[in-house]
Amino acid sequence: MSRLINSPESDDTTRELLRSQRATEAGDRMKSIVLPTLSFVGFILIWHFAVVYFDLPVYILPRPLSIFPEIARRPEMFLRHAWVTLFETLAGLGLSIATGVILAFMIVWSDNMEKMLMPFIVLSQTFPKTAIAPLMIIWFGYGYLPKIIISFLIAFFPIVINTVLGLKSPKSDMIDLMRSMSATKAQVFAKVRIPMAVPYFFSGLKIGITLALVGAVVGEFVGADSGLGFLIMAANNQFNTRLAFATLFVLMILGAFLYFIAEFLERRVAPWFEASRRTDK
Amino acid sequence: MAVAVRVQDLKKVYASRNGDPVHALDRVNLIAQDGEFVSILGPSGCGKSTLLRIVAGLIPASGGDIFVQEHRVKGPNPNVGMVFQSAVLLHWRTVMENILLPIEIRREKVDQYRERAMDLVRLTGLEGFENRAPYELSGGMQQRVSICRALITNPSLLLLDEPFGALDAFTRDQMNVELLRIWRGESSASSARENKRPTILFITHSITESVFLSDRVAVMSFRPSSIIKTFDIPFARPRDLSVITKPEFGELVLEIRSHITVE
Ligand SMILES: Nc1ncnc2c1ncn2[C@@H]1O[C@H](COP(=O)(O)OP(=O)(O)O)[C@@H](O)[C@H]1O
Ligand SMILES: [Mg+2]
Repeated sequence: MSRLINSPESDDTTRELLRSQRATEAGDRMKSIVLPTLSFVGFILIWHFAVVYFDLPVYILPRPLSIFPEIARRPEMFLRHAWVTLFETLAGLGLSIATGVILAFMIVWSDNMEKMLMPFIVLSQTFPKTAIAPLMIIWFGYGYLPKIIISFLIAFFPIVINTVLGLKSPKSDMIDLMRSMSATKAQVFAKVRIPMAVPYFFSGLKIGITLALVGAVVGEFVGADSGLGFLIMAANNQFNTRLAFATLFVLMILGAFLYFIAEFLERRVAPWFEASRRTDK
Repeated sequence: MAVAVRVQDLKKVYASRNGDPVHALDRVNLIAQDGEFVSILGPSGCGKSTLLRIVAGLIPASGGDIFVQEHRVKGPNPNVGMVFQSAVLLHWRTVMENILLPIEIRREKVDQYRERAMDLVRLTGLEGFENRAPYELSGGMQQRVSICRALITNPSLLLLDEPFGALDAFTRDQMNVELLRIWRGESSASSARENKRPTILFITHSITESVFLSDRVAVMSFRPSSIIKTFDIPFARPRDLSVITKPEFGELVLEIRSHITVE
């Protein structure tokens, strides 16, 4: 059988075909780098010329390229604040993952648990969590804790919901098969539900990771003496729009960094995702 | 000969969403002898899967008695292997790891079963694919893997629920021939073990398929369903597809068809 599969390789026309196919694929890859770069450069250009053309004062909109010198002038300050925000975000996210995964297991393990917990989880989602940020300051002070809690409250929902979906994703035939082998509930979780939930968990994590960052920044808006959210508020109070934009840029980089970490982990840990799409033929 | 499966006055009522109960099965009676190949034939929705799931111990009956190997069915039985319409393979495991799954579930030493797994791989024509991922295999080959998985534990009873229903007609014919070969091969190929030919309950809505495969065909009526008639299939084994062209085969198919009612 393996000879059959290899035989097209020895065929000249097939090899030619494969080569041109590879060339097209390489072209597609090039495009996927070039085109986004073009649109990004275009965006910067439009921004720049808009500022020049309308002669906008710097406190309304700084020139895009003036943002980088602003950061380069005192990188250690940005780094210090970014570090605080990163810490709050990761702590909030860690709490979301732990709570989210445990809740998801409880919900899928027992129907009664699901009935008891689901209403709370859905309510927690409709509840405007950013609106209680000021309360958090009253309860927990100006330290890291209120930011971590807000970050957690915002980020945990997509993680629970996606993990629940994933743990429930095996079709009934799959569960019947496991039960017909006299598998215990724990074995059904270990052999089927958990592996199948991994890609779902990661899509939840990718949403949660950016939300956790939003939560930390909102917490800092309300009351803080460090962090990128604090820096934006301080810049605003001084009408230092360039500083605000520089901070936003750092925030963007931080968000992208976190997202790519999640994506990297997903690729490493969840090769199932690709596979599952291919088996659903 | 000992009785492998005995179903007596089996009833099953489902509670449906709108409140009206669904009488899926009504006084089903069925007996399968040890080593017999019995097909259960009926239109879609008549309760074939329900019957099989009750025999497998996956869902409770609403009434009646079910015995497998003279033991009353109270829940899933490790001596029973199941194959469904879809192969339901774990796509992150190799073919070999999928075949060995039941051994892991039993918490037995997987290594002791590798040889038997390889025997089954050879028997089902999967040689060379044992380390592939399931999604690299065609539908027919995936179903072979699920048959190997059902056989790895040497079950005395094999329950197949429209196993080839999702395959194209050509693959289906081929799989039918293969299934007979695998089933018969089971007794001779690895005779070192205590295994003998498993009893098979095979569910289908294809009359030809059921006649080609079986020792006996049980025809189910539409809901509330029971088994209205069973037919002995006289063709000698080993059978190949040429049986289908015999006039007796056609007559039997016609005779069975006349007993099938659709909603
Ligand atoms: N879990 C269930 N709840 C309610 N009704 C069901 C359930 N499972 C099957 N049924 C009904 O029982 C009947 C028989 O179903 P099934 O055994 O799957 O038929 P078949 O396998 O012959 O197509 C159908 O009318 C179906 O709608
Ligand atoms: Mg069915």
